[in-house]
Amino acid sequence: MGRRQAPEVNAGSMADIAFLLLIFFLVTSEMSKEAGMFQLLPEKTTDSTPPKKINERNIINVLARENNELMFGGESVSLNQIKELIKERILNEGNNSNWPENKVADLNKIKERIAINRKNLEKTTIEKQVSNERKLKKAELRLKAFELFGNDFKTSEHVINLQATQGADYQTYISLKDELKQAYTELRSELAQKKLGRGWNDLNLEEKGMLKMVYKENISEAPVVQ
Amino acid sequence: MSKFDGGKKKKDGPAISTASLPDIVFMLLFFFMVATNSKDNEASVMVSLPSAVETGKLEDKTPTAYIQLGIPVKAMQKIYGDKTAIQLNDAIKRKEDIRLFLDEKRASIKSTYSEVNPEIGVSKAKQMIVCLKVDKKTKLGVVSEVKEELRDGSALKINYIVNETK
Repeated sequence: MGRRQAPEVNAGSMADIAFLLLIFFLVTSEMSKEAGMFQLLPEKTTDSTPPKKINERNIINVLARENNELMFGGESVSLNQIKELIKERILNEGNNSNWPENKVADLNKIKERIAINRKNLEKTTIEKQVSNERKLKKAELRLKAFELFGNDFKTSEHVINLQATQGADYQTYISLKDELKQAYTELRSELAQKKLGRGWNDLNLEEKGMLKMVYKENISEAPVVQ
Repeated sequence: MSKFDGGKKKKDGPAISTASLPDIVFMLLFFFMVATNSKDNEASVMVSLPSAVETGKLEDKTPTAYIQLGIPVKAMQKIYGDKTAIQLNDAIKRKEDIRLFLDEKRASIKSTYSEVNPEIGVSKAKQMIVCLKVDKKTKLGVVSEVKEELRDGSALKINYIVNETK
């Protein structure tokens, strides 16, 4: 079989072609370093029942204003002060009567809630089964959190009232919100360090869930003011 | 020159084969194709994102709709002025168009998933998250108006897109 050998294809320009493609993709694409800050907007309701009255001491007012100005309560503060102020108010270790109320979680109430959720699950309809199961799981996790954290499981009644003026910059608002969220994360990781000996990043999903129950994020956003 | 050439010839070993060079470059190419995502839609407004620490990753599986707020790009400023504008899909729109845009998005999500199972289509449309890409210098009054519009259109799950700083 005297087959003639085909002439070898010169692959020297292959590299050039590949480089060209590479550069094309480098130009038309971008590294994604974007992340998101999630928020659930309140539903628009048509009924005009007045909102539940909140005790004055439980409201923490923060306000973002134009020119990067921030207000905490009635005072002007800088961005890096906010976190500590918020943490202090939520913990309220000295039981200051002007700061948000703190209550140690009640074991009976937790058990009661589990019983109620069990009963609900027994007579549930198929459509609601998933949500009822989730509720029961949450109630059981609460009990577990109580057993783990004991007297450290305090529920703070606080509501952070986040406001902004119309002329405030978006960056100011995001930074403020970021700072509030950081306050919660720090509180949670401090408790984790104390009780579990690990930082926030080393916790599993369940432990994180329990800590989120202890320090529950409660930020309410009012519409912009003038 | 001749002196130089002469010197080189003596030391020259076998030529280094460049046959594997394309392979290496292709490998780089594939890496970049995987690690980046393409700039999908043409920007009509300039958005420089704010930065934040406490962020969550965007989940790939939940359907999203993007709304961008910023000052129109130079070429568009003749038509739309230099005030903050709203970009939906590829074009600058009015704030009243947001609800129509949301409905369209929901319908398209529904129809994509309904091919598999109509129930999934409905629930996926409900899960839709609206991602807000807002320029950091935007005044909050405008952002707030958009948020009100989203509430009216019952798109309650929103995500502020930010640059992550550690």
